Amino acid sequence: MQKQGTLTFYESFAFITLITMSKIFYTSVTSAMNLTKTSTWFMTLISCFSSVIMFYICCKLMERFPGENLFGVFEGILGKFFGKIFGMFVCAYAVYYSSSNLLEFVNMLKVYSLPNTPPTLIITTMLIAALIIVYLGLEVIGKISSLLLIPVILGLLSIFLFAAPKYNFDAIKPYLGVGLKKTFEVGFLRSSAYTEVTILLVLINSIGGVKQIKKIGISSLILTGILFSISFLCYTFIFGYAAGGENISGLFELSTTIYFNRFFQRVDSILLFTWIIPSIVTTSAGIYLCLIDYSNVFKIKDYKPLIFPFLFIIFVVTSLPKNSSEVIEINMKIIRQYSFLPLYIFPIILLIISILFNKKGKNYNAKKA
Amino acid sequence: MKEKASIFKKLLSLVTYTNNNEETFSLRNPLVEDTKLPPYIKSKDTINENQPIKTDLSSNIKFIENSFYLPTNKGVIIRRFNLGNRYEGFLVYLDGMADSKLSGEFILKPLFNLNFEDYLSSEDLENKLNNVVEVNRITKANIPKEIISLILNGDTGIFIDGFKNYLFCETRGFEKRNIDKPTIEGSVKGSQEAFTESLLSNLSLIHRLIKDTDLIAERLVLGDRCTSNCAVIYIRDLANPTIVEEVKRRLNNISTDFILNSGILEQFIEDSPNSIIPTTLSTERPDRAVSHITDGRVAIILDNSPFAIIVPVTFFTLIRTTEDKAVKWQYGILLRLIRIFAVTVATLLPGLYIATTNFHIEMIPTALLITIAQSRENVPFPTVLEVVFMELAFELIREAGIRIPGIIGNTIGIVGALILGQAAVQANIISPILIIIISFTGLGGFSVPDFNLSYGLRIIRIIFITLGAFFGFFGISLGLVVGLALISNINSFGVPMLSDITLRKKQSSKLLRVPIWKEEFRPKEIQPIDERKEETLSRKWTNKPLGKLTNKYNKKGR
Amino acid sequence: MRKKLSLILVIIIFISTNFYGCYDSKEVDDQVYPSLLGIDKGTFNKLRITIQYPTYMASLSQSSDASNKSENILSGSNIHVVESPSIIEAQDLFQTEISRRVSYIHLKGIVISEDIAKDGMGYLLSAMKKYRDIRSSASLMVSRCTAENFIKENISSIGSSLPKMIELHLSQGKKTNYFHLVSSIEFYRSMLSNYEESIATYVGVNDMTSIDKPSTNPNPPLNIGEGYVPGEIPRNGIAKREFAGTAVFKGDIMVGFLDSYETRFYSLIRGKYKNGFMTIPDKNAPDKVMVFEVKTQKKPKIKVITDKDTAEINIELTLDADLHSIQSRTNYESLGMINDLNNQLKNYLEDGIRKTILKTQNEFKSDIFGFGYAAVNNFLTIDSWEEYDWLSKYPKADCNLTLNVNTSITGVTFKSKEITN
Repeated sequence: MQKQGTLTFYESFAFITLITMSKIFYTSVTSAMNLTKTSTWFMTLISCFSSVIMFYICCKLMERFPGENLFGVFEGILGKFFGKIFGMFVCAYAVYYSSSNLLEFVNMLKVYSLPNTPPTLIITTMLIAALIIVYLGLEVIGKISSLLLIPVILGLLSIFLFAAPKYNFDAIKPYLGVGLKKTFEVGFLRSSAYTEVTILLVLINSIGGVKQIKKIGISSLILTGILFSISFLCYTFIFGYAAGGENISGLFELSTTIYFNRFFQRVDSILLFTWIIPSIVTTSAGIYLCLIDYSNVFKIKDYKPLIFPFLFIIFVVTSLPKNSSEVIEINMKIIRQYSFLPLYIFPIILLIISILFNKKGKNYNAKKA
Repeated sequence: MKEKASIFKKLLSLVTYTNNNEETFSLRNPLVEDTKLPPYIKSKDTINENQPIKTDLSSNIKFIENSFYLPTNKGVIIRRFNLGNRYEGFLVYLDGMADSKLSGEFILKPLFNLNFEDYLSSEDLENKLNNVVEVNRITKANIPKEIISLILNGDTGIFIDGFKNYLFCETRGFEKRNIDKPTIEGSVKGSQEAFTESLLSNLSLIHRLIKDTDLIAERLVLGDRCTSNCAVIYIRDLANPTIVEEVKRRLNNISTDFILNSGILEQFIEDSPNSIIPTTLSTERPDRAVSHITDGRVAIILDNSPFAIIVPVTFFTLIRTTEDKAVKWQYGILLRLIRIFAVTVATLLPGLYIATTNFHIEMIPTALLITIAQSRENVPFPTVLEVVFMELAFELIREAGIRIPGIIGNTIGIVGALILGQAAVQANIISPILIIIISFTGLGGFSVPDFNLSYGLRIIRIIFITLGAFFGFFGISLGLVVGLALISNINSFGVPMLSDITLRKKQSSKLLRVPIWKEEFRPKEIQPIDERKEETLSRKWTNKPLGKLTNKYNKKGR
Repeated sequence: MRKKLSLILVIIIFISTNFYGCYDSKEVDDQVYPSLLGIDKGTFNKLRITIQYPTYMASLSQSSDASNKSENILSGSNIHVVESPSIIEAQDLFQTEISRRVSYIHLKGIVISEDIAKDGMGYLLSAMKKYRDIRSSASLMVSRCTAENFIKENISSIGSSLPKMIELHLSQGKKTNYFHLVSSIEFYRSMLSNYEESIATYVGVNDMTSIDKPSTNPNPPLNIGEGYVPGEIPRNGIAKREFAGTAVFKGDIMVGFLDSYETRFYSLIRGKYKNGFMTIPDKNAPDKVMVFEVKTQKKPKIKVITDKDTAEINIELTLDADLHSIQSRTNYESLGMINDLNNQLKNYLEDGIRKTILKTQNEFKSDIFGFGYAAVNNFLTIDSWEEYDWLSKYPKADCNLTLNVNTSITGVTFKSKEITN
């Protein structure tokens, strides 16, 4: 395998948190609100908790195969042929994921900022920026996420702070919302919102082993969970569950309500920076993931000649949906509600298979000894 | 040595599979790893005669005349003499470089006053002359390349028939500028001396500040056709030896005719020649150079250039000055914050203005918006063109201001800008708000301490203006992220440019300042040999109890 | 060589087919930015849209004339009216006359006439909510006369900036509480919510003829506690338009209005009241009044106890009052009389608040006070809350009011002496 470069603890932590967090700026808030109304804020904590447990179990799987990443595990358990097929499936999912993210971003940008620009232009520009970042490699992605994480979080929290005079704290009552049972069900399903943490399983060799992965994954899941919960809380305070189920971007609408005095109002354009920057990093990370997956499956040394073809594929997949309704109802549903199946449940099934059939990695006994 | 991949080759690697195995220089920690340094090519072999000279007079005179193209070239003087009617010899020196008074008083006079009673062989005469000639240093040279180099540097050579070596006496005495105030890096509280063109006086300035036996000043000779001297200065037990070796390797492997000034030298040895941000620091202040040398960096001073090149640097080293440390830490933090703000304003302000007024009109407060619309009512140009026009005018004023002589230069700069701006507003070519934006931007650019960086920021500003004019805030965010990615990829002698803010371990060269008595460590990113500057408790007087203030003359009765 | 050429060709074709213009770039002075938008019922089409925007006539060079600034700025803004099927298409219809693009992004206020409000204005608001240009921070006003009339009488007499004038005026509501600034997002949220009902600012046009002649009444009556409705305030001034009172809605249909004093009591319960001057009749001298500045000390405490079909609302208000003037010169400031003073103020306020709540319960049947937010404490899940349907139970709810008033500051003097003849 080719040299990917190494990431330190903070860089990988910032990387995962940034790309998981970028979905809060889109329709995620509103769709969750429609499902669980006033109990959204602790539904997301339930999602976070179940994600932590499932990720922990996935790490146990990786422990049985020290020194290998997810694709090595696939091949070790399922054999070369099926391992490659499932690896390609993960790669295809990564392509779908990146193009859906890109689509959502383009939709948001066209609604709020550049309504007359043709979408192909925006897609092309984003892909060119992603090309440059992916060409420079994983270390650069790690460095820019470590630099950009804190400003983005500060920007997000400051939006909540500035909107504070308009909060109506009674809007989250009744506290149990749609009932505990349904909240738990939806919470478990929507743990798919946190599945970006499984990127760590692919990059395990650049980060330094299973122990590091556990720490990084769990801490970033907890931070993201807290941030999501705060966002849902503040969104409910401002809009209530009735009007809150309508907006295409909950947080952007929240920022348009900020009004301090004649001078300090209309600061939503500053929020523009806060959501465009994570989206650019997410797009680059998604494309990098596709390339890494593909190179891992077919044992290619250098992924750089593959960048152009994959960009083209993503461009084509991005042009598939006809309108934004399709994106919201089909793409986002699959990704935000059902993606835990291939990314969490499937490794858990593999773990069970590996325990049953006693499949271990090459270095497993050496490590144990 | 393999050439690094050109831009075209990089683009090609996106389409086809290329065999690009370039080895990049990486920094090694001397405390952890073996100090086995990679082999490097020795200094280039002397292509001229490496054999020692012949010992007879006529062939030596011929050698000198051929090398220096006498009698066409009247610079080199050969003064023949005959000592005691027995020994014929000559004195050779370069007129203007050698001080003729020194050679007359202290070389010829004692030579002519010698008594030659006994017969002395050539070797004995050589040794005797060693004790007769009254100069501080005598170098023996018998290889033609060395001889020529010493003559060119201003030493006077003595050769007597039969000698195996020339005796070169140190008589350098060319005219040079006095130590003056710094011209482009002023300060209020720091020292007011600046480097000059003479390498020796520059080294003396540094030696005055660092009186340490471990301060090493290695001399290298650069250039093929016309050689210039260059000094590499570092502290032996502080600077990481990999950096020192890499610096010397790069300097010794430059193949060019003539290196005129330190700017050209920088471009020959820098890491990423295609990057917009400079990766070396150029300073004309000895105190700034010394503060970097004591941190563990390496300084390169070229003869005839009043600048010292400091490597390796990070981005935030370029916007720091010694003034920050010469004042209290609170003022130091304020100064650094203002400079970071200046850098932001210098790159982003015009781009943000164009993006806001063309794409995000809802962001401007309504009263201000109406004012802008009113002021633009009579202006026929779109905003982008106004900005470009004003930028060009500002650049012209800046360039012209450098070249206009004397007192007129200063006044034209300020008055020109004001009058030009005023007249442009009156003529309804630009709107008045733009004058403020451009002057802010210009002031921000001038506040950057590093000269090279301010040029880089100008180019970045143009890129942001373009992006803002095409895509608004989206374009500016794209520019920020991609720019950040490109900068974080640049290394300066193995140290990443943004390691000030990406390095998470404890370090004392933080973004802002800490009090001087808390700066315990040297910058970690350059991995010096000795990391600790101060002890944890550096102000030991705080531990001891305060002495009481007594006035012993005020006791009763006394 | 061929590789180089083909790469360059690909790049050129790519750039020339995509990057050939900046699509969304607009110059600031290519557009006009209306500050007020008026919506009426139209004759030839469903809606009659009025806009008022500031003009760019005053040129801002260094030699600006001082004489321009002292003129009464009636010419600083333009008003246009058009009939159109929708608010958003009106932007295009205005282009038939206006030379620049009309852009709603700096809209400060939307004025809707009472006729439309009484028929239900929800359909207009959903258009406004979806359209990105009309911001959710624009204030919503219901006008007693036609919106066109209101806007035509909207002139700025102090400064030359129209948007500044509108914004400042709307924010005066916080200081006097005679009217409230309601942004369209607040209206929209309350309209959709089942916890409360929505309100809007009530505005109108006063023809200023009621007091244009000197008074001929030898004994003018003392009118206390009677609020005014826009259009009927006895005043004379420069601009005919005025803001007073609140329009009350049930759902998206206007069912009535509160006058200026009732709006004060509304804001006391809602917790929005900060301070304001109140004139109270003096018990000991029926002809004379006392003036207090009433401030809220704590947020009102509201508890609602719900039963199957009934509800009980308990409101507790704590107020602080500064005494500013006693016309009868009775020595209320003394320790013995201060309780009497407090009680007088308390009775006056209780009376007013009760009447307001009863008005909303009996006449309007609409809970604009947001008691639903307190009632929801009795429910744990949204299903049970929605089944209960608070908004239909509100008209029959019992209301108990506890008012604590304390006069803490009594002005510059603490004793009033008799006037000697």
